[in-house]
Amino acid sequence: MSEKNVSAEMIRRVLAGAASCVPVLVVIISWWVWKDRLPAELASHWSGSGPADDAMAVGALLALNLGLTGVPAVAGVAISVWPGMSARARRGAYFFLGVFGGMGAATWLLSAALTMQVGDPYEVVLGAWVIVLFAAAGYGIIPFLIAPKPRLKATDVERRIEFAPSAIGAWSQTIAGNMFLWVAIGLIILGSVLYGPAIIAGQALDQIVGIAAIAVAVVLVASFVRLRVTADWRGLRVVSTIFRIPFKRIRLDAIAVVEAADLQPMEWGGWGYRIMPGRSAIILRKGPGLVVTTRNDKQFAISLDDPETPAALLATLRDGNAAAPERQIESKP
Amino acid sequence: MLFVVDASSSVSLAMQIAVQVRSGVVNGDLKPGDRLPPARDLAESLRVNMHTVLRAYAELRNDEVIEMRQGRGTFVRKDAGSGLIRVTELAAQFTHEARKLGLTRSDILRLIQRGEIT
Repeated sequence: MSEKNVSAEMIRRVLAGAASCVPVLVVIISWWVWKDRLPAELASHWSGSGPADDAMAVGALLALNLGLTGVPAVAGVAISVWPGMSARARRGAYFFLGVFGGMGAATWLLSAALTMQVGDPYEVVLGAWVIVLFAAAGYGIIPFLIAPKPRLKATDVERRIEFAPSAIGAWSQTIAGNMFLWVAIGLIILGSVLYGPAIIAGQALDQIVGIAAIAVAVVLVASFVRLRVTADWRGLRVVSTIFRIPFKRIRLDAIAVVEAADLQPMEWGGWGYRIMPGRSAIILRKGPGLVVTTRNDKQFAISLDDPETPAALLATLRDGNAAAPERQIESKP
Repeated sequence: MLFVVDASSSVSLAMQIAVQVRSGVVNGDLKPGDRLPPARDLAESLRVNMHTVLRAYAELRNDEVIEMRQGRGTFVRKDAGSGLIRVTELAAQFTHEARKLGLTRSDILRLIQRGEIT
């Protein structure tokens, strides 16, 4: 890694750590600005849609919220300087610290601002302001985005296939996702139980939304039962052979690293079609699979019996096999 | 499975594809019941004419290696391996016997070529 990259990464880590401190600073600054106007007690608990049913002294509530926001701040600074932590784990930690810190600051702001407005803490109604509390949880995305992205692995894990300069290669395999078949059957049974009586009674129109939702879910799940995976000069494609729905398409020039790996379902969010921030996967079983990392740091994984061959082929084609895309091979008689 | 075609080879592109499918069946890369890619898709992947792939598939169908089911796709036949495996075994046996007699590689190839003529 170059010196410039190291310093840029360090700056991002420091900024992400600083972003984790923003909620506690908001609490401190708002208390400093409002301290002369705050009543002795602030509303602190609501059981339903009515007024607050409990209140706390300003000092106690401030201490509580300084704790709620201070702990994520200290932890955020600590992981900024912690050396043995992976970038992926660090980003995840920043996210959750931001969620807790944001909610802690929002709790303080709502209690203080609403009580100041109403006067009597037991008359304060939270109402729709509760949305602010949940929205504040979204603050976690800020330090997450600031933190350095995970670095790509070295490309020496990639293998190549030897081709004649005039040759071109393609790899194709149809894979069976039997788990999707069982899920589709389960959905059909569920739909029959839930909406069968209404359909038989001629009242299907009354349940049209639910029936349509089940039908769409069945079609989507069933389309994963047979998938064709293709690696060629265009890149990697995963297409349903049943409805020809293209599930994944990664252009060859977008591939940064392609490798065969031992896929652990828990590392990819479980079995089936998984979508996570920056990552997606079709996990059919624990075991061999293909992992593609794109140039914009997104990852895609798919379970395959023989991932080494498509991995080597894609790496070879990406690095400029002689059979360039613009050359059209003429068919021989 | 991996398909590789070489435009500069003296062997036709259709023949190259057919040979690779046969090899795939013999070495176990393709198992009975496995689905082959649709001719159009494979042609696009290999940047060859679709009729080239169809010609390869037709030859494999005539040799009873694959079966083409209308509207369902192209599959390796359930009994596809037997004939090819028998030929492979015979070739191994033939080579072994020839080596025992002290024949060189070129002698063996000459014998095979003579067999093709007769």
